[in-house]
Amino acid sequence: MSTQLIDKDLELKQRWNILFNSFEQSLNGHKFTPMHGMRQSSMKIMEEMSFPTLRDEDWKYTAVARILNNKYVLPSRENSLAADLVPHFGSNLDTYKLVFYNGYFRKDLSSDLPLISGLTVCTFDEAMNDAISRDLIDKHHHQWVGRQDQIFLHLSTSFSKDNIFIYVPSGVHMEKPIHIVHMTSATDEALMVSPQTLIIAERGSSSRFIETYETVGTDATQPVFINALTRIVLNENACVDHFKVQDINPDCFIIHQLDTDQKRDSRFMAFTADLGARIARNEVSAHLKASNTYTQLYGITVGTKDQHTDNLSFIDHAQPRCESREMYKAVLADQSRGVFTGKVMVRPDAQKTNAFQQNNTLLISPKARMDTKPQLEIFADDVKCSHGATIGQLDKESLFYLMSRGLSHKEAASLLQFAFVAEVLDHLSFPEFEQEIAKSIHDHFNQSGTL
Amino acid sequence: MLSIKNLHVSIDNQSILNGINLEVKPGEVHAIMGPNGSGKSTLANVIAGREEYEITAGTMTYKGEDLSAMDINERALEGIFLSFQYPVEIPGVSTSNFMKHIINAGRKHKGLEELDAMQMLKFLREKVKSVGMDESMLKRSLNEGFSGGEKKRNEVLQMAVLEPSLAILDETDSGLDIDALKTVADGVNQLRNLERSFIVVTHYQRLLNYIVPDFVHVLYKGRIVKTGDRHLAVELEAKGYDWIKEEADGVSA
Repeated sequence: MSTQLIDKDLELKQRWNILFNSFEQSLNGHKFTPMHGMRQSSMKIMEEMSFPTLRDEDWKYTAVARILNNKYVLPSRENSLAADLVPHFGSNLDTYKLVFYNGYFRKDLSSDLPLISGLTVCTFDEAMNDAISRDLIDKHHHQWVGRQDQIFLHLSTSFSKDNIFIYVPSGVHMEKPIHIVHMTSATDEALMVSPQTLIIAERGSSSRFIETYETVGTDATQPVFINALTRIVLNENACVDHFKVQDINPDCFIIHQLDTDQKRDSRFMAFTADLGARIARNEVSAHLKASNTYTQLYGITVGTKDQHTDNLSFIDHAQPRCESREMYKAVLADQSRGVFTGKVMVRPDAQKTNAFQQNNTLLISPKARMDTKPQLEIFADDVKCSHGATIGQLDKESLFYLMSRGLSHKEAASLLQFAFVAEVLDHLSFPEFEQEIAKSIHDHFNQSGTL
Repeated sequence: MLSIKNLHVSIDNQSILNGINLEVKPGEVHAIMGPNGSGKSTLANVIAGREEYEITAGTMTYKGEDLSAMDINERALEGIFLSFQYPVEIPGVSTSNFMKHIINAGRKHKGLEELDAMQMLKFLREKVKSVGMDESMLKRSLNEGFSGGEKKRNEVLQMAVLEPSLAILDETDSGLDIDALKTVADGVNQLRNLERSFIVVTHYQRLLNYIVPDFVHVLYKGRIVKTGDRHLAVELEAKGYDWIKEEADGVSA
């Protein structure tokens, strides 16, 4: 690192330290909780680390300076009390809603939870009153965080507030999905929000989660930086579907880490739709810790204007007879950029692994750009693995065909673009959600100059 | 309806059409025949507005308007329909969704209200039946995995739905067995009336047994070298194109 960079790094850390100290003071009496112990330890770990630069392989195409150069403040509970908040996405969906505004849990706007014996949904602070929940959080969140080396995860942990804990008991099939709604509003100061979620899916349970990120109110000019973690632990034979929709203002930033541990025979599906943000970075890691698991990762990116969307996935095949499938598709217009890194590790014990990965991009404008990097490391010999990446443009023949039937260029292009990404939606098995997300995708197609 | 005067067209600086003159009046059926590479498909595509072709000289007027100034979709909305020689497969767009879009685009253009889902379904079902297709094709992706015959029938279905003033059939008969050919021809004949004109581009005379033309033009080296009535087509079928070529080359030499 050059001295200039080191100075920059030190300056940043000082800034976080000052912010952390004032945060600590605001905690007033909650300084000695396990939760705060965890914050402090993450703050300490952060001091030993530095923020990634383009020289870091995993950040080769995504510069974080634009995110870090803002002087962030933390939202106070007072400015999280707005009354008339209606989530834009999925308000019609029949779900249990957990509403967060500027990082604070808003029980008043959230649904009553179903009366399922053993189902727990509460903040980390509330969970501390219950020994079993406390132990689970300690094991699967606090201790786990302590072993991680991503600086943004520690930044998020240091400033996390109303973390949510969800425990789905053994054998329970949750018919209705839980919808975690994260709404934020820009203010006159740059705002940093650090939401974290821990989901434990017990043996044989099945549940679905929707996680949405959106900004409400667009007048303020300062950005919001959402630095989020969702950690999901799937026990034996558990089944979890996770749908994320990110549609924040195009001057805001989001870094989202989705980390999952999969035990034997478990099935996990994650879908992410990235429609908004100036810079969006998703990291998904699936750790296949026992045999016969099934993992599906899907993503749709619609990029317009100056948007930059970076998807990094890591599937760790550590045990035999596991299967993973990945399909990420992007439609990039204007000057938008996309990045895809698909890491698949097949360890020596992971015989009979099936791992398939696909990343396809449509570039709609000559100034749009995609960097895609499949990264398969295979150390077992009896496996089926494939990866494919394509970057193309709208097919002229198809455009001509549609236009010769009376559709305008815009209508024809929008139809083709949607067909291109719709292949991903076909895998979600959730028609009501697919309808909603289709609407949002069309809205974004209409927002660009070149789409 | 359509008036083409001295039309010269080239693609990648290669001249394909070298002075086409063609008058199509309402209700007329014109067959364009000719050997491979004579420019038949180019003519069909230029009228529909395909962008790769460059008009280097001449004019095309449609209903009194300069055609070259109209966008592809504008031509369609004003009643020009091209039945493709090779209909494009569009995965991910269901035939019914596609139909819904093109029908409503047309209705919007005419200042009519869009059809709602129930009306649309009813309308489409009738039309599908009229071209002898199975309703299940509406659920399939547009032309994807369709047989040659199904693709061509789908073209005729679109024509029936859009009710154009000028329909251009580009080698609609190529690759069809006789049953499919009859269904396609029936579909076309049902649409024939005193106002609607057709340009039937074909390599073979066979189709013209079913769609009887008023005029037959023979295209060779980018020019119409001979015009006659339906008997010309029969003659071509019997004698091939060589005598036309000789005649034309003799004249130009």
